[in-house]
Amino acid sequence: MTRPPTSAVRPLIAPRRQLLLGYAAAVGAAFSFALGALVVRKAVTDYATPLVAAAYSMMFGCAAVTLLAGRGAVAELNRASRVGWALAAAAGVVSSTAAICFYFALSAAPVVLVAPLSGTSPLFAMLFTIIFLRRLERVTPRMIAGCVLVVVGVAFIAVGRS
Amino acid sequence: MLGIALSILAGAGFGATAVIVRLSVQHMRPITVTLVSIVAGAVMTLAAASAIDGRGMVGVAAAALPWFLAAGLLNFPAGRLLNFTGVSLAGVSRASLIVGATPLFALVLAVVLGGESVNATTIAGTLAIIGGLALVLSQQ
Repeated sequence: MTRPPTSAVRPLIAPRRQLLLGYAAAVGAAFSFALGALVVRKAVTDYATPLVAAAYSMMFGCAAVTLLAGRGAVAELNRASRVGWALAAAAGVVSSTAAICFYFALSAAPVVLVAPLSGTSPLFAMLFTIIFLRRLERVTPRMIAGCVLVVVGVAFIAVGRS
Repeated sequence: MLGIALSILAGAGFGATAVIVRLSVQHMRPITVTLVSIVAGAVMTLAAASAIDGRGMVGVAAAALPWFLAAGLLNFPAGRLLNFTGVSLAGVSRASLIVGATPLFALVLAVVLGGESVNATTIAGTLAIIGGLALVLSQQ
């Protein structure tokens, strides 16, 4: 993976307020994804295959984000470097590839196996952080232990609900 | 075996996304990264869906559209934008851990909205997630 230019790299020394806002945003994301999963379940049970549902919901999501981002985003994109463009596009491609893998995994294996295995994403995020973001973020043994606990907890919930 | 490999690939992909986003927000605001990423992802997903299930893409019932709209709004302007904002403000290791706890939020919703009952395994999982989050988020 390409690192951004050194001058653009800001070390993550987050003030308390910034950190709390980040936590709140992440909790909001988790809640939205959980609620979204209920809606997606209804859509794929009654109306379409997971891939078709994903394609349509992404088109609607795309329109909504475009309206939300507005002209400010267009101006920012005009100023953005190629690296910035490439990284943002790569985030979309990798995320969509992961989602497609998840949908196909569900058709090839029981959910009780797929959910805990795909739920290891925080472990991968921490591993990739150690490898690629050494200059931006510090990962401590305590954080790794917490991550393992969360992944084990996710596996327990998947097994318990199956 | 294929299902296991695809599940692990999905987990790795979601983890890698958070790291790429952390690098992207060095160049753009989270909302702009969300916009570019969703356009790139939508093009790819549309191409895959049209190639694999073209008939399903054109034969969608009108009654399905409100569900797709709701899923799109919850997952993208809400979920993805907040996720990317969380990564930008709190860092990958903290934000992706909270977002990784989504099954706990799903369980709470299933209990509150769907009347699902909890058992010893789900309670153990809940306690493990809360303990893990407390360990990481209390780190200065």
